[in-house]
Amino acid sequence: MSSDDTVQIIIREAKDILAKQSAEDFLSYVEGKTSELEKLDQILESIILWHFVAETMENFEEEDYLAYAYSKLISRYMLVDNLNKAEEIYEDSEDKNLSSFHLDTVKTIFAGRQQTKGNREIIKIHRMDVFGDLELIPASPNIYFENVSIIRRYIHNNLPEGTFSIVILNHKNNTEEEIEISTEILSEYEVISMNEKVRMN
Amino acid sequence: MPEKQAIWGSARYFIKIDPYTNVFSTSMSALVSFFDTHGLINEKECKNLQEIARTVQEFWSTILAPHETRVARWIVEYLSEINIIGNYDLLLRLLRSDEDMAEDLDDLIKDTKSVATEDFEEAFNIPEDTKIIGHEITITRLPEDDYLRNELLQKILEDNKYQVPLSIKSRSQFKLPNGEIATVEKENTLGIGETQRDVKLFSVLENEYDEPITEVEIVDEIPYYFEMEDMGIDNLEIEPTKEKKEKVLEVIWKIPEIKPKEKVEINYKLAKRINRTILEIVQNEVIAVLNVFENIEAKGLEFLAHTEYINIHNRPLHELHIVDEIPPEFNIIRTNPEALPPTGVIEKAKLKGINIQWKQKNVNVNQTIEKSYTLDYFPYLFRGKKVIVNEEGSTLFKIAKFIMPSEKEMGYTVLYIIKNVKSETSDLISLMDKLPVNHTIVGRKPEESQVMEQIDDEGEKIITWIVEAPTARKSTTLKVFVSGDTPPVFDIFKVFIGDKEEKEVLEKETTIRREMVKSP
Repeated sequence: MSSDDTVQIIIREAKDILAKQSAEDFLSYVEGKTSELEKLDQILESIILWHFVAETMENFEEEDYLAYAYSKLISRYMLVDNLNKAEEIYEDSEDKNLSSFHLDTVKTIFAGRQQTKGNREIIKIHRMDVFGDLELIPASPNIYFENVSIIRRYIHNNLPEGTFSIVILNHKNNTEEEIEISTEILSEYEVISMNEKVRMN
Repeated sequence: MPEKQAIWGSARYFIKIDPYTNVFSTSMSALVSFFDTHGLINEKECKNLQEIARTVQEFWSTILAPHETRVARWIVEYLSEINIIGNYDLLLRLLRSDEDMAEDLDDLIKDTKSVATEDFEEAFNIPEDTKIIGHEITITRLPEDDYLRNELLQKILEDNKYQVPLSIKSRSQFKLPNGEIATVEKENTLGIGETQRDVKLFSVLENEYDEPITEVEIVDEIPYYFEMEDMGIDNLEIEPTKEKKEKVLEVIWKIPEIKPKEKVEINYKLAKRINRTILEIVQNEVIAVLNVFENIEAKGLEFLAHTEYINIHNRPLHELHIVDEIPPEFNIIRTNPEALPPTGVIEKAKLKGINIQWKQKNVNVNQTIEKSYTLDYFPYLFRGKKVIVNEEGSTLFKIAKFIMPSEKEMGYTVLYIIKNVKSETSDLISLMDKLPVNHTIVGRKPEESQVMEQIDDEGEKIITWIVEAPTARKSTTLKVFVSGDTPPVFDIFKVFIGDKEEKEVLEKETTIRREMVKSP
């Protein structure tokens, strides 16, 4: 049986699973099959299957699975050193505003290899004091970041020890998001805590 | 402290596994982080071993073609570097299986029923005022597969472990003037005691009627997990009666009469016990699980717990598991006999405390197994915060107090921070705080700070820090080094601004829990 036949059989079986079972079973089946193919060095066949998953999940409007398929596609194109194609998928995922643990991981690895253009800019950094109050500190100069993982890395590498609230502007869709990052080394304590609010005479 | 390690076949990519426990098991959780030469790429909280293994594999296969045997071998070597003995075969199995292999264990458990435990109570020499809670679990069969067998026993232990309550039930009954009987039920929360090991409990009944209520009976249901160190009821000369129920000790107070709008307050000083779970494989299809509670006694500056088990069945036990959960306030210094794997394992789980797991094969009839633990307090941090507001409710100052232990011989450090949020006062601020009377201030920072020590009318040592209010949005701090060989007082301070004092407490919240924090 040729590898084309193998891929076609897997696609037919996967479609059947999707029709009779669930999207989760569908993804689990394809993932198992691509893993088997990759062990036999059939990475291109695996890429065809992940394209099939991406197209199917797009029609299904399953954003998490779609993001997962995109992460597989970027990493597989990187494995076969087709960085142009990896960048194409990368840009496509940016256009679709997809985000997930796997996709962010893969995109950060890809961005480390390529000089990709980011859309996210840190516009405010607040430092948290012992009372939980936020104090504004100077934000970064005009550096653009590809995704939140790279921003997290930037904070860890460039800010002193502390807990920070970071406001990020996504220039692409003009939205703001806020993330909290701690760069402190924490230790485990049995914490006895008392909070009081009192009125003075 | 785990370090990141390069994945095999790459010099640019690294993985770090930060386990939340020192014991390798399918339930171990960890933070898995990925790095390249520039720094952190991403990290993921994994809730079990399968998720850890698959997360490592996922990252690995992003960089290189998938290779389960290499991933499993890499994880075993990584864990070995941080003194955790892994199992290559189990990891490989978890990486290769499509499903969670242990998910159908529920089907193996046929029945769970409560059993009488009087014979165990007599044989185990348990503390007074406690009982043993017993369950008999019938299973279809013990799996032959080691992994599934172990998972089933862990599941039975976990399912039947005593869950420490956060509040205590109290129910009252009394006669109204018209002769009707009324009942009230309450959940009383546990409070901070004078020392780290103590727990305070208040049980209050108020007569909200305009007439006296009579024949009052208050029943507090104290779980066997708590040792009763002391108790009392206002200034009344009443002794309660006690009744041992299946899971709680009922303390019953009978009060002849409560006048209108008056209340009675019962106070308890409790101490936590060791929460012991014993699993006996009695027959191939019958497993007994016992919950036993063991006292922790103060011994000098340390604490000691002694436990005893005896096989009272009329046959040898093929296998016996004992898990001793130490209350979170304590740290373990040593065990006797020494806990050495595979018979004894001390598990230190992040934010969950310490438990000691014993596994013994072939326990003979009437064989006694004794274990002793020497304990010390777990590193604590006291964090007291007070928000000062004016009549309009605007925040003027935020004031914090932290207590951190120094080395045992050195006592502890108290740090005070005053932050001016929005006050223009030119008055001096006084912070008044308590120290145990036998504790002494041996240093302060800044050295020129004005700190007074005095003994008040009740014989307590009061320290007062007098300081100029910081300007708006600024803070001022004082660090006090205290010498004393007993624990500090975990209480909040009083504040005076000029001659003005605190008028009313608007909100108050007290909690004790494990947290990951940076020392202030």
